Amino acid sequence: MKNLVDIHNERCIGCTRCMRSCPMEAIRIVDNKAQLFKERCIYCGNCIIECHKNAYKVYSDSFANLSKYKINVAILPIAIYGLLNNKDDLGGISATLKDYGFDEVVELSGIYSFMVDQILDYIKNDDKTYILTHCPSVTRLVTKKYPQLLHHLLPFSPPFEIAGKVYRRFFSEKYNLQEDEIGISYISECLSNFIVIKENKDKIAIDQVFLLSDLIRNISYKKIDEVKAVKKGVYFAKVGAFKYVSNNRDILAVDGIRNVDTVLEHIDIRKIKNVRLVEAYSCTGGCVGGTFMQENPFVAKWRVNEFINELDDDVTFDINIEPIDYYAGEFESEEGVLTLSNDFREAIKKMKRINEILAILPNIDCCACGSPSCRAFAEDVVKGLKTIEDCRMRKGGT
Amino acid sequence: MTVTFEFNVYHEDYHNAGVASSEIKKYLTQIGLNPQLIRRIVICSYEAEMNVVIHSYGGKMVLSIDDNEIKLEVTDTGPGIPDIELAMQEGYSTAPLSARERGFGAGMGLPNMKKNADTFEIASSPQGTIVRLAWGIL
Ligand code: SF4
Ligand code: SF4
Repeated sequence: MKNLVDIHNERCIGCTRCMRSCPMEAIRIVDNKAQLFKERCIYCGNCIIECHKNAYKVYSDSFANLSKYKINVAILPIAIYGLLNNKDDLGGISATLKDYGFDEVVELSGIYSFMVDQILDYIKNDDKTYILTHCPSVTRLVTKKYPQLLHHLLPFSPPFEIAGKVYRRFFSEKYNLQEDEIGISYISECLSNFIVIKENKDKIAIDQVFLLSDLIRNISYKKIDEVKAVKKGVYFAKVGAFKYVSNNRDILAVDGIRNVDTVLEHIDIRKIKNVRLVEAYSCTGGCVGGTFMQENPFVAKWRVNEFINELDDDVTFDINIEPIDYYAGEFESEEGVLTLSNDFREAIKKMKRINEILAILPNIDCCACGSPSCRAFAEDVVKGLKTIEDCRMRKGGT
Repeated sequence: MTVTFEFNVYHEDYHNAGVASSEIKKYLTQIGLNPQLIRRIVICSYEAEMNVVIHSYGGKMVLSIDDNEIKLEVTDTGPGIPDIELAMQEGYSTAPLSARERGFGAGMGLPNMKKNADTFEIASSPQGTIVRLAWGIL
């Protein structure tokens, strides 16, 4: 099987850009080529966006799979509103996707607007600081780096997953088919959603996933479908939507995975208190900044605003949603990915060795060794991934 | 075997306040300490760090880790706490407006530390304050 994220060696020039952009220190340059250490990765997509050689590759599922189902449904990401010039564009995209072989095309604004009330209702029960789980990279950041904050995560599925369940039921009733005769495809705007689907095919309500950037290139406008969007939900294409539509002062909105990391850190050490909900998105600007958007997030945000102005207020979402569709339960901790050894004494020994190595390094974080910082390099030496000679800037050259 | 880490903390450096505690948390995570214990340690280290930022001329924090115990020693260079007993009362605060405006200085610092550490010692004179905290492992 192919890796979920492949790095093409013939394209990679070992420039270290991706490595330096990674919030999890999950990338190293080994023999002048980038290597991704999966267990640390939270699939934020920074590396893909940063690489100027287009060396990172991810693969859409095959259209051939669509033939396995009687009816195929495509779910458009909420970020789609950052790509539209006017209302007709949505219909054009829908019609184009039908040319690709989909029978039904749906979007997510209804699901997002429905979840607002569920979440507000849930968080009013206590005064904990909750973390929104719309963005799977944020959820992964918590499960890997902040296991202490696990119980702060809202126990809800990401919207594409909710949509998968809801629309599978809806269309199986509409067409009078078994649920497994309906094929659900998600057109992903970001690496984060894309990987969750790829990794969990057997557990998730989505059968196929395609990259938005692969599909959106050829919008034809031969025909324009009628697709209705729920205004309140469309706001969720960009960061700050929750705060805006709920008019709640105790919501902290944050975007960009490094900013999210900082905010979580502040919550963890209790530098921030009195926040009820952290509305956090891995990508700049929220979902409009998704890895596969191929549009500047600020331009995309502006488009969303324009689009919202064109929408009628009275469109509502009237498909039934059950708690079982959105309730995910507690997320599982992945603590341990950041530890030096399972054995405590061994870990202390390694830590001591790391400090000793660090003392003879220049501490300028130049990255020429292929590690993201001098400290990370010292760790890599102790782990056996690098040798001290890989540092070309060492004092004294011991 | 003991590993130690030292961090400088500066007076009124609100922007970086918490950085030392974050680093402490990172190292404790790397050695695989139980997240609940890390939490207690970091609550203390953050309160201690804030105290140095708000109330002192500046100081340092030393974290030492060995097989049985985590120790945190926080020292500053003055002006000291005139009445420790009073300072230990919940809600008692001498934090200046600059700190309170930022939401700090609620007077829970020392009581919180005492609550979350296995052992807690404090001594103070006009030359400086020293706080010693320790947690047993297991
Ligand atoms: S950004 Fe990373 S993958 Fe791309 S060329 Fe540079 S080192 Fe290679
Ligand atoms: S997707 Fe994000 S976390 Fe994963 S390797 Fe790339 S930059 Fe690092």
